[in-house]
Amino acid sequence: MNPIPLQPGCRIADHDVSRRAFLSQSLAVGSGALLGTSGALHALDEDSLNLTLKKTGRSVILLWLAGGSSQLETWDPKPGRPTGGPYATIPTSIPGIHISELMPKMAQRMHKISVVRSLNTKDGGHGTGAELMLRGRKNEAAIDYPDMGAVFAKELGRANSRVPGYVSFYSQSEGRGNTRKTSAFLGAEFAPMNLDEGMMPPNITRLDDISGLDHRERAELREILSARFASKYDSDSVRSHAAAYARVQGLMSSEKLFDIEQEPQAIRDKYGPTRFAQQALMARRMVEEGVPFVRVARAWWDSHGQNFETHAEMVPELDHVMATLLDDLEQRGMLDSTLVVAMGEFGRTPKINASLGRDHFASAWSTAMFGCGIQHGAVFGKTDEDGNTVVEDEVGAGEIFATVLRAMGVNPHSEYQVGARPIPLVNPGIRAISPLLA
Amino acid sequence: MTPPIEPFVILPVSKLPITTLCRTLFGVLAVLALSLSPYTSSQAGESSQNSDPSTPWWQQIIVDQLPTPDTSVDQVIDLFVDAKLKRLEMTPAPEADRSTLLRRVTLDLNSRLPTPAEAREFLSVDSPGQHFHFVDSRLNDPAFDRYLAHELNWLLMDGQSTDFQKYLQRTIPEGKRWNEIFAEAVAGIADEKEGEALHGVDHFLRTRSRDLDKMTNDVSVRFFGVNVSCAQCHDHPYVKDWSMETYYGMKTFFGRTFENGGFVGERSYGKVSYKNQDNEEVTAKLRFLGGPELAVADEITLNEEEKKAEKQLLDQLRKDKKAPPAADNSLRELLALQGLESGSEGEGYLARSLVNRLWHQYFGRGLVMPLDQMHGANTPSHPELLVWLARDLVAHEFDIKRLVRGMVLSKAYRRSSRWEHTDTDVRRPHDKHFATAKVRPLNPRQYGVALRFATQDPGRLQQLADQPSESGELAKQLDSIENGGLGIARWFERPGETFNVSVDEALLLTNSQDAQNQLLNSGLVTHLDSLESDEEKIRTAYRSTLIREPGEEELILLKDYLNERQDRPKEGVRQMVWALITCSESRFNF
Repeated sequence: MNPIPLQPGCRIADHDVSRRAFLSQSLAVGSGALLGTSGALHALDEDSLNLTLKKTGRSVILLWLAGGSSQLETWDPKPGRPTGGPYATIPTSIPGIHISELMPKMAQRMHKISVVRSLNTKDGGHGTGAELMLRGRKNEAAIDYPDMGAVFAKELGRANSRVPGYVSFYSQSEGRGNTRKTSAFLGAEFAPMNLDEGMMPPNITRLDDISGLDHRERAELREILSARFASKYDSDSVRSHAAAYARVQGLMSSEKLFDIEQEPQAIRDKYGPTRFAQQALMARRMVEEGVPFVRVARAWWDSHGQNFETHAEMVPELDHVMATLLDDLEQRGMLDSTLVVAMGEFGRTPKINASLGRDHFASAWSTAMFGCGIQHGAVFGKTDEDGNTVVEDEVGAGEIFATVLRAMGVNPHSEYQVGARPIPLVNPGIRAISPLLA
Repeated sequence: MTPPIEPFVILPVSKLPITTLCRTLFGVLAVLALSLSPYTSSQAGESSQNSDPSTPWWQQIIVDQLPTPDTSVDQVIDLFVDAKLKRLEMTPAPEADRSTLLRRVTLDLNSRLPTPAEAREFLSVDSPGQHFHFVDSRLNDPAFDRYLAHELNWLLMDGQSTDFQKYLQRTIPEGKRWNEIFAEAVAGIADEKEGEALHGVDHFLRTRSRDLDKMTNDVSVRFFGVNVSCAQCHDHPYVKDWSMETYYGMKTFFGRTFENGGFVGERSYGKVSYKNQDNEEVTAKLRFLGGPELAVADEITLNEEEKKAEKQLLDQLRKDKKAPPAADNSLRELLALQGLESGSEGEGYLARSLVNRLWHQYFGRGLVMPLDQMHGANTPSHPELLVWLARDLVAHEFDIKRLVRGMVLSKAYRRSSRWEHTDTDVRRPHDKHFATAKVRPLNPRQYGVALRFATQDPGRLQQLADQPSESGELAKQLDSIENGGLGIARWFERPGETFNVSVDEALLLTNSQDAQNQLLNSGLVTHLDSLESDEEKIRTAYRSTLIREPGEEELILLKDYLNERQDRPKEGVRQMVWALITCSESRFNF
């Protein structure tokens, strides 16, 4: 099951969806993007080096927009078109690029993030769409794939870390089940710590009827007995048993990590009082302590009716949370080591239905990301004037997954060995979107 | 993708110096076993010389030269395993000590720990007959059938269908043959009422009816041990037989299958077509795992009216919650026949795969690895043995108990899992030689039930054991403990081929109120509290949890631990019990 490193060092031919198209766009939009481009070219030369050096101390925060947010009310508005809806667009910090007026804060920070406007993921089902976006591919008849969190928990996690490798916040129940199959053949070691209710993980606190001293000494006694066994009957599994118990005290001592009260009130106020915002703050706390992957789910964007009311409520919250997270990470010097991705299982139809809603739509939608390994101010891909189809630089779930892996310094073409079968992290032929890579 | 083919060569025993053979008792037994059998291993040498990579490995074995069918299963196992060890000049580990064997057998056959009375009886007599006697008593316990049904439900249903498990639980004790279970599962025709013979059997297809590729591959993997999914998109790079024709030939059996209102139906018409590697549209021909094309009754074509009538009928059946009518010339029935026909390829695949799965269950590794790559080019570690066992299984009407009995009685199974060698440079032999037993993590059912057993009041179990067995009180209590253990089993992850214990498990057993209530506020702790001396408490706790006496050092260690807690003796006992049931010795079968 260990990944088999392939030939390191992808070169230009290996990872380009459309460099030319990107260059033409960045030239048009000015200096912020230009700066990024040279960074991308520079990074290519160092790619093999990056693969070995990049990984330590890096983390991903996935803002999971469950139910499918509308690209038209966020990153790819179509003002004045029949599909445009009531909201206006506003200019951003990248000249020539406009986004929805519901996102004024991110508009000011547009030069620090990357947006993909050309996703065609072809699957408009909540369950299957989530499965696809979280793995970069669908499970096969013969094999389930691990999701992004499990892959990063494995790739970026440290052995014997006192913090978990993968934490998932999912407070609302809608769509939660679609995110539950996670670590597949990687096993429970890389499955998430699920925080559905409250912020404190289960079984992390000592029960009242045993004293701290007895709790520790009992664990030591257990360890001595186990070690006697392991000295005679050694195996990888036996060692993992010892390792799992060895992490218990560490996790329990990180009880404060899960306590939001430990954050200064000023910081908490900045993020704001909503649950999504507080969980985003928790995600930052965890990343700071070395958790490799945190998912913060915000449900339920599934606006078949009253799309505009739903988005009027939810987009400004997303805008505020993303902007605050970006500023906070930047101020703490963590932006270079933390990647933030905001996406759901699909977007929403340009056509507005009779209930003033937008339905499921996977043919032309958007995602945004910023931080570790990601270009500043790149806007990749283009949809037609009504947003019905991708007209430039179409990409799918696999390319997004590969991009995120690359950004984190993980070679997407490395492999896990499952039985007799080598399983590459992304499907053959899938490449990262290199213009998005810093 | 496929491990390199290892030629199977057994050095003729006749060519070994006789002193080498007789150096150990083991060698003597091997010679005895050989002399009992008309089979000589020089003949095995001949079979390997015939090897031809284009012929599946099982067809290269001259069956007439194998030990005769009346030889006992355990003897044949040891004959082949020992002969290979001898050839490789490996000395196997000695037999495991008796308390280890007692625990191993009880966990493997009944998914529980032995009761104190069973332990006393087993350990009081040290004769080879005692092991045979004990294995038979565990095989005849209804817990064996329940556990087997549970494991087969994992094999076929990932443990997910209680209805299917009940079907297995009903049919296995009645002696239903494995190939009949296969035929009934792929035919998918169930009885409506709960408790009737075939109720639940349709769940095998129902859960897969929305994805015919999954259905095709699952049947191939789970019953025949071959994963054909690669050939869905391309010819298999290493296995000549696994072409797209093989895959779609297999899929054709399911090509007319559909789902209607939760029921699985089959049409009397329809073909499977696919794009071959030259991108040409091809109609698949019905073939069983790459075998010759099978005859299909002439295709029916429906006119518009007939199609409309069919749709109306299905709509009505859906509303009435009824199964669609059976198909004329059912293709799935043809598949079922592939497994039922005596001497057929299908029967061979079924038997080899089941032997391999069961071997994997009791030895921790299959004779063929991976378990889903039992194709003709992937030679087993012990090819003749696998062929003999498969033939024996078929000859005895797929009698699983007979096969399991042979495995568990074999010396290979009874070996110590500990590798000790006076020369430290001699490394532990590879698992595939079965020179030692393997340390295996308990599956959730085993660990859940074992925890429940370990924490029972041993005094109470003894009282029940002292009653005449006709009262059935003990059996009732054991069933109830098993049921309680099934609840605890939900806390744990089912181990895969490589298994790492998760920190969630450690946290749960360390800090959860539920675990505390079920395991530490338990009969065992109350019983221990009632005992006078610390030594008695320690010894009793060891017997209940680890099924052995404590060693001298352990006794000193735990006496100290309890002594330090003289002011809070009950807490001391609880902590000791916790350490014993969570330590690695409790977590593994070794």
